[in-house]
Amino acid sequence: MNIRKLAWKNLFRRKSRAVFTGLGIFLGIGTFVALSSLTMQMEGAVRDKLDRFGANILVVPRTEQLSLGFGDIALGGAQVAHAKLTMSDETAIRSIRFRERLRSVIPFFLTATDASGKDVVWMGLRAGEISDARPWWKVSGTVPRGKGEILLGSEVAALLDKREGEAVTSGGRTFRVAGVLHPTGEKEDSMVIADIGDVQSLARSPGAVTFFEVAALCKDCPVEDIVGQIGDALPGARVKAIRQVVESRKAAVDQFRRLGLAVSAIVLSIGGLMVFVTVMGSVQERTREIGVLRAVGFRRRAIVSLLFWETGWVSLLSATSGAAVGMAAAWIASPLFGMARTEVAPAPAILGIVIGMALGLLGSIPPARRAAALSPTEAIRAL
Amino acid sequence: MAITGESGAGKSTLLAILGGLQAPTSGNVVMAGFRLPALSADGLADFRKRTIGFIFQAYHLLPYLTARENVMVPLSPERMAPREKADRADELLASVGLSGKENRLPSELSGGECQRVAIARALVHDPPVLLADEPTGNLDTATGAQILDLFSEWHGRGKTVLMVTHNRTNLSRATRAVHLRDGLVAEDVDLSVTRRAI
Repeated sequence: MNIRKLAWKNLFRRKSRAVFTGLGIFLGIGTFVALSSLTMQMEGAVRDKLDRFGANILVVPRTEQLSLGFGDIALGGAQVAHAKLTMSDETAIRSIRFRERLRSVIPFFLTATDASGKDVVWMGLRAGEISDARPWWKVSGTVPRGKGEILLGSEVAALLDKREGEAVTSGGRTFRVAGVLHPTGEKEDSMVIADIGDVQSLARSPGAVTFFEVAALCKDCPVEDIVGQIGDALPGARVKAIRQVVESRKAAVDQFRRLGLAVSAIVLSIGGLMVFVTVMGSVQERTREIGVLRAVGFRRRAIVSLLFWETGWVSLLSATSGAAVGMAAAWIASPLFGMARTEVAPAPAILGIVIGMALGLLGSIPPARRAAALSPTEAIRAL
Repeated sequence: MAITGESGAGKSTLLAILGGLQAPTSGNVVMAGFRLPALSADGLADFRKRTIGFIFQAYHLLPYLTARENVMVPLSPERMAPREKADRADELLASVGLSGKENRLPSELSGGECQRVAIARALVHDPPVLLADEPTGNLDTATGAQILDLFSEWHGRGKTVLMVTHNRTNLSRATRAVHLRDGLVAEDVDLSVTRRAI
């Protein structure tokens, strides 16, 4: 028999009180773990999407808007590029100081030329990088695997009346339609996508690049620094970080996290209050028992220790079960937040158990002090 | 020693003061060499642990613990091996005639057996003084006599037993009787001398 065991035995004597004491912690930790897990999953999903889909830096030639007019009559304007981009610029981009943060550097070349007699825009990029650059594309057939193969945007396929396996001619060459892109709602619906070498040769611009897409964003990546370094490496280029999508997604997740923290804080406060009220009530009820313990030689510290152990056991059990239920709830609720039911991270559960224990012990400090300060005279009157 | 007196005479208060559970409003209390008013709360707790064994009329056993565990309660804060604590409890339970009933709950024991467990609990620290407040008040005559036999046995082993009682039978077993009236000693009789004279 020791104080730990004495506390444990006392819990079983007052099961309903123990359950009520633990209920607040159970609900609080369950809520905290569920919301934290969902937030973590959402953050992970955003990060994952950014990493997977994540071209987030655009490198384009620096241009000047040239206004044209005659006297005070404006005749519109023209874009004048300082310098054109070339394939060799990729080497410069890959040589920046934070080069290890660059997941991909993909050159694109755009030109307008005919396809089986119709004027369309051709977009060229290395055939082997099409899936990396646009992983969300859905294709009937396959993406081009090399030179001589093309992918038709849905509108172009309709315009040319071509399907997978058929041929398209341009510049005296014949291209096989490897696949047709499902409608995306974007500009590529009206484009022909081919290997960049083919498109450059159709435009008679070998080595020319219209823009580079650079994927660099990952958690805590210094995107602004990377943008600056690429700008330094390519003085004739304009480098832009695509921030809006990232920031709006992050803002939504941050809002959810703040909401989750607020709800958790409220429920946990109520839980702490429940611990305080029930343990204080328990001390009042157990004046006689405390009197006996004081009579047989228990020091104040031993009485405090007994109450802390009792609350500690309740907190541990309720926080652990709350964390388990919270994890299960997060797993079940994942699809409601547009996420797959992936493995739930253990970190919120571990943190939840620690918070639950701390909350239980904090809530029991005033009652424990009250019990320790209980005058032996008062206790002996109850005997 | 038997302490007698009418209700309100101060018997239980005297016991509480002697046990360091209550401080005197005035004067000094010296018990087993300790000046009790000078001790801190923890000092009094240590004093009770080393010097005093309390026995109450209503036993005040913890109902959710077995007889053995109740006897071990005062040892709970001690750094002792669990086996050592259990052996000590079993030894004391055997000495009060409760061998074989170590694992019973108080609800499974008779009143006399509960009081024996309470005595074993009071003796677990081997204190020199036992303070008993109406120890046979809830027991029938035969069971009460058995409890008094135990007190006599422990008294014979050198322990001082102070017993608050209304019971004349109990009085006849004491070696000294102090009668209180309105908080004062009205009578202090050495019963061993009286008994020898008879």
